[in-house]
Amino acid sequence: MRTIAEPVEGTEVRVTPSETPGIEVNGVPATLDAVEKADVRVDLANGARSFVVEHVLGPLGLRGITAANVVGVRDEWDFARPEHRFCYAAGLGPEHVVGHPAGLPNPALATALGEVEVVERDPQPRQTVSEPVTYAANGGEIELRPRERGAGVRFDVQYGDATITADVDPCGHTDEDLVESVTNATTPYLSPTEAEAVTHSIADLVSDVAVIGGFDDLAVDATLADAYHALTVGAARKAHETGVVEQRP
Amino acid sequence: MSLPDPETVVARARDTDPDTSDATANVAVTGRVDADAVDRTDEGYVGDTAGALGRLAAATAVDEDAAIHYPEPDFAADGPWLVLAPLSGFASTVSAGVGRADVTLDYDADADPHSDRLDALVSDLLEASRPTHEHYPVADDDSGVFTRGMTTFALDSLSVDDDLTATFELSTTPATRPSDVESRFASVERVRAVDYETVAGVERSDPSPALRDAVESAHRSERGDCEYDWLPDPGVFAAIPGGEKVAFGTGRPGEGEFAKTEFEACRDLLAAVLSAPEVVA
Repeated sequence: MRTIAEPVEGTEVRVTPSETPGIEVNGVPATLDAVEKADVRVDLANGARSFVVEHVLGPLGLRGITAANVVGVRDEWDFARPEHRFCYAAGLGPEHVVGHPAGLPNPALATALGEVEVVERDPQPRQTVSEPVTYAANGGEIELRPRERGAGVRFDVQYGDATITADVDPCGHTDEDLVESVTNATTPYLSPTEAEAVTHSIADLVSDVAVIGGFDDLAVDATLADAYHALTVGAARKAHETGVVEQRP
Repeated sequence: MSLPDPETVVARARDTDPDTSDATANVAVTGRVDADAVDRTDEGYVGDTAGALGRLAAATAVDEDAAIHYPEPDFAADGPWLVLAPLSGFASTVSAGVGRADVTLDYDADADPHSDRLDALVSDLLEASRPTHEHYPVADDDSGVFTRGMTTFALDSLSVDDDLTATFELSTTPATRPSDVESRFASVERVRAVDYETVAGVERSDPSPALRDAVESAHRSERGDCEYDWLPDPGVFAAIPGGEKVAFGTGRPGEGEFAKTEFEACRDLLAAVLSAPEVVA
């Protein structure tokens, strides 16, 4: 597992080291079982709910952090945000919304994670799929294919007319330019161009497939449409439910 | 199941006597219902007030005993309140508030025979009243994704006397401050005064954990998740005294159509809430 040596802060969140594998957001494990909503955004819930977690899990995955505790630190309302209205109506505080207000995959957090010392211990098995998994949802299609141990995750993604290929190393040795461009690209709903949207989608795919889905070595081909977290989380869920997840020491 | 015709819906609702029922909860519907303005088709209801009538139809179609309050709610009734509203399947405990702002400008009609100056001033006022946000495309937000939670201005009237007065109706939030409303027009030339008053404050109920659990569980079972948003205006929700109230329902504000599928979803949601053992009047 890989955790950070000391706490870091990003926009809306504070991240602290963890002694055990896995990432928690406001005390809720970032696992498929805890996904409460996956369409235009991803929410985790196990009791209290955390909103737009992909904007935190994306940069954590891009930096190869596999053990950490994320806590929302927002203390002011912005009721233009639907998630803040949700919280106000549900009796929750704004700290439950950990997504970036501008729809970015938290570039400040990615920068902080890139500068802090990373502690690696207790090696965990790497995961891939034993056979291809295909899934379709909301007009999009995705395929997860096996990849050799240590290869990392390769994403080939299309959104509209824009495409991107991105190699992500689950141990954090991902190209710095890719991390910077991805974490500074706005979410598709707010993106001025399809090129920026597809760049942003890499953070979402890392969040949903690599972090929540738990995959380290994988080839991912995806054609994204609207509300594509149903597609990405759905594919990871299908892989687990059909028993094709393969662990390799 | 076919939809009941509009007249039957209203008749059933009127015949329900909340005082004599063994109802587990009180049910009210937001918005005006005009059965004469609504037509029933194979696909649903169409016409002015189709949504409110469709939600009232859903209330009268549930098998569980509910104290339906129509046309006027008995606000003294005991027990929790369930308010059916155009919430697109979301739940709500919050309604936006309403405010009014009179913006007075120096203006001499005699010196503006072709109303050119008047047109320019009104244009400036409208420009100043438009919503803006640092990150979100609120100018084109017709569905209210973002603007439902913002202080928004709608020009209600203009009067020209010794000066020009523009009256705006505001949708307000817990963050709305009179000083912000006043400063909104500070940059408009010739503005002399901005008088703001609260017409109805933001209403936020505080339902018991049991009622909230019943509503959330019903939404999860019927829709897969329970999401919250705000009611766009106070309506009957804000008028109901006390905090033991929750709004939910299908359909969208102001739409002249209410599909049969929306009727069925609203009916099933209400039935699921009413069947929860936690909901006891």
